Amino acid sequence: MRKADFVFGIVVCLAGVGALILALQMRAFAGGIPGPGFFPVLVSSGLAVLGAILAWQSLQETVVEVRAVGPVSAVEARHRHLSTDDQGGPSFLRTAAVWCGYVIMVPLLYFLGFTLTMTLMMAYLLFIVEGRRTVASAVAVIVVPAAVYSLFADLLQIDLPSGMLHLGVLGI
Amino acid sequence: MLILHQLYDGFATALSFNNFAWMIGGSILGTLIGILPGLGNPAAALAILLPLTLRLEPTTGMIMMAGIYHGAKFAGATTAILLNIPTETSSIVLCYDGHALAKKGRGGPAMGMSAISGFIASTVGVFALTFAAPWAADLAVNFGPPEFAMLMLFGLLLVVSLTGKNPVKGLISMMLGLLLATVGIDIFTGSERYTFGSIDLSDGIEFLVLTLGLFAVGEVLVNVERKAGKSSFVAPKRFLDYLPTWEDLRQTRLAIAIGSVLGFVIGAIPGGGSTLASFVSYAVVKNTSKHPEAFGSGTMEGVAGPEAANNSEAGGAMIPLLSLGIPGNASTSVMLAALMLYGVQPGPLLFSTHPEIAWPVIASLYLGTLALLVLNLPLIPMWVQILRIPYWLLYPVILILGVVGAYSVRGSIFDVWMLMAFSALGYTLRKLSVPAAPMLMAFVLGPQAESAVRQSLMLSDNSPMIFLERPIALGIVVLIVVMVATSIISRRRQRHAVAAAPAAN
Repeated sequence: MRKADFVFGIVVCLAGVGALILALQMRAFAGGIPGPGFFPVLVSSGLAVLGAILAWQSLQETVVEVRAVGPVSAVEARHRHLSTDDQGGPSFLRTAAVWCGYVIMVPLLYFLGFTLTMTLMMAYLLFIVEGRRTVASAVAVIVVPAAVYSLFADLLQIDLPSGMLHLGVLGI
Repeated sequence: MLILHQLYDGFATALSFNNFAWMIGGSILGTLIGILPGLGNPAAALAILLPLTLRLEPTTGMIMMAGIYHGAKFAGATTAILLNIPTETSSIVLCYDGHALAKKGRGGPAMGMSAISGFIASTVGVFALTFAAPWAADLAVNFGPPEFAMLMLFGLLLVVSLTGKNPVKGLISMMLGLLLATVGIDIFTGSERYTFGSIDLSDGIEFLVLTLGLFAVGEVLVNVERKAGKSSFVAPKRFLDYLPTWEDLRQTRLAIAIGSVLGFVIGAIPGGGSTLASFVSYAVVKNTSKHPEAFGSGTMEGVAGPEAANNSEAGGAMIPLLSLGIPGNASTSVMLAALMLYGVQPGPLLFSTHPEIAWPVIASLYLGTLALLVLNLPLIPMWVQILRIPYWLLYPVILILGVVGAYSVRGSIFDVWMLMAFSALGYTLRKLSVPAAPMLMAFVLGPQAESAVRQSLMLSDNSPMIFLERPIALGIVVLIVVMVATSIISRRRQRHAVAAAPAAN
C-alpha cells in the first residue's frame, strides 16, 4: 500500500464532497438553463470520485508508474536523479522552518513595511535556518531587500507595502 | 501575399528601438532566470516578470514575454546537461544523454549542440507559424461553443493522459484547477461561488498568485529540504570548447529535422506542449537512429532531437494560443493570462481585431531565436558561472520576488496569504508526484470551458447530445476516445518495457 497516495486520495475525496455540498446550495439550473451551481457540481463530483479511485489504487499491489510515450520510460528507469552535493538526507523540518518564517512575515508587512520585513526574513533564513553567520550573509541581508525595493517600487513604480513607521526611507 | 505584408508590418513594429530593446532584455532576463536551478521553469520566469511586463504596452509586453519564454527554454538545457537537473518536464530527456555527455567531458559541445539545434528548429517553427496561424484562425471562425468546449477538454486530457505518469493524479490536478477557477462571481448570473463572504475572494483567485505559489515558491520548499553544498560540475572555459564538431553536426542532421517537424506539429495541437514534443521526438529519433542502443549513454542525437522539438514547439504553441486562445503548457498559460489581463481576447478574431499584437509577436519570435544564437551562445561561459551562485543565497531572493509578485497584482495582503497557501499546496503536490501544470492550465481555461459548456447546453435545451451532433465537435470527441485508448495501451507496453529494462549502476 502506498500510504501517502492513500491519505492524499482520502483528503481529495473529502475535499470534493465538501465542495459538492457547497455547490448543491447553488442553483444547478435556473430558468431551465445551467445555473451557477452546474459546473461546481460537476467538478466537485469528479474530484470526489477521483480521490476515491486514487485511494483504492494505492491499496493495490504497487504498479510501476510510467509515461505513455515511446521508450522514454525505459531509459528513465535506468537512470537515477543525481542531485548536487548535499550535506544530509531530506529534512521536512528545514522546509517547515522556511515556510513558517515565510508565513510569519505576512502580518509583519502591515506594520513594518516591505523592506524591513524582508530584511528580517532574510536574516532569519540565512542566520538561523542556514546557519551562515558570515559577512557575506550580513551584506546580503541588508542589500538585497533594499535593492529589490528600489528596483520595483522606485524604478518600476510597483506599489509595495509601506508599513506604519513612515520614516520615508525605502518605504519604511 | 497579405500574410507577408502583415509579417513585414510585424517586423517593422518589433524592430522599433523600444520593442527591440525590451525583446533583448526579455531574452537576457529569461536566460538569467531560466539558468537558475529551482527557478528555471519558464512558467515561473514568466510569472515573476509578469508585474514588469504588464506595465508595458500590450504589444511591447507580449514581445518581451516571447523573449523571456525563448530565453528560459534555452537556459533550461544548460542545467539539464551540466547538473542533471531538469527545470521542467520537457528537459528530462535532455538529462539522459546530455548529462552522460558531460560526464564524458563533452558537456560543452552538448550545450553548443543544444543551442544550434534549438536555433534551427525555432526558425523552422516560426516560419511554419507565419502561414499556419492565420489559416488556423480562419478555420476556428467556424467553431462554436460545443467545438471550443471539446477542444479544451481534448487539450487538458492530452496533457494528463500522454505525458504524466499517473493519469488519476493528473486528472485530480486538473479538477482542482477547474474548481479554483469557479471561486468568485459567476459571470452569467452574478452569484457568488465559494467566497465564504470574503470581498477578496469575490474577485476570484489571482492567476499570478497561483502560479508563483505552485511553480516558484513551491519549488523552493522542495529544494530547501536538503542543505545544498556547492554545485559541482565541470564546464569548459573557452567559447570554442562549446562548439560541436562537424561530425557531430553531420550525425545529428536527421535528428534535428525530425525534432523540428514533430515539435511544431505537436506544439500546434491544443494541449500538445513541449513535454510531449520532446518525449515523442526522443522516441522517434531513437527508433530511427543507426545506433539506438547508444541512447541514454551519451549520444548527440539524444540531445539534438529533443532540444529541436522543444524549441520548434514554441512556434507551434503560438497557433492554439493566438488563434484559439488555448494554451499548450504552463508557460503559454501565463502568456494567455497576460493577454487577458491586457484586455485582449486571443482567438479566431485576434488576427483581424488586434493584428498589431499578433504579428509583432510572431516577428519577435524570429528575432528572438537570432538574438539567442548571437548573444547567448557566445555568453554560455558566463551564464555557466551563474550556476555557481550558492542556492542558500538564491532562494531567499526567490521568496522575496514571490511576495513582490503576489502583492503587486491588487495591492492586497490577502494575495500574499494566498501565496502562502498555494506554496504549501505546490510543495505537497511535488512530494506526492502530482503534476501542477494541468492545474494551471485548467485554472486558466476553466472560465472559458464553463462558458462554452453552458452556452452549448443553452443552445440545445440542455441536451448533451449537441457535442455529438455537430461534426467538428464529434470529430474531437472521437480523437479524445482514441487518445485515451492509445494512452492505456501504451502504458501497458511501457510497464513491460520498464520491467525488462536493466537497472543502471
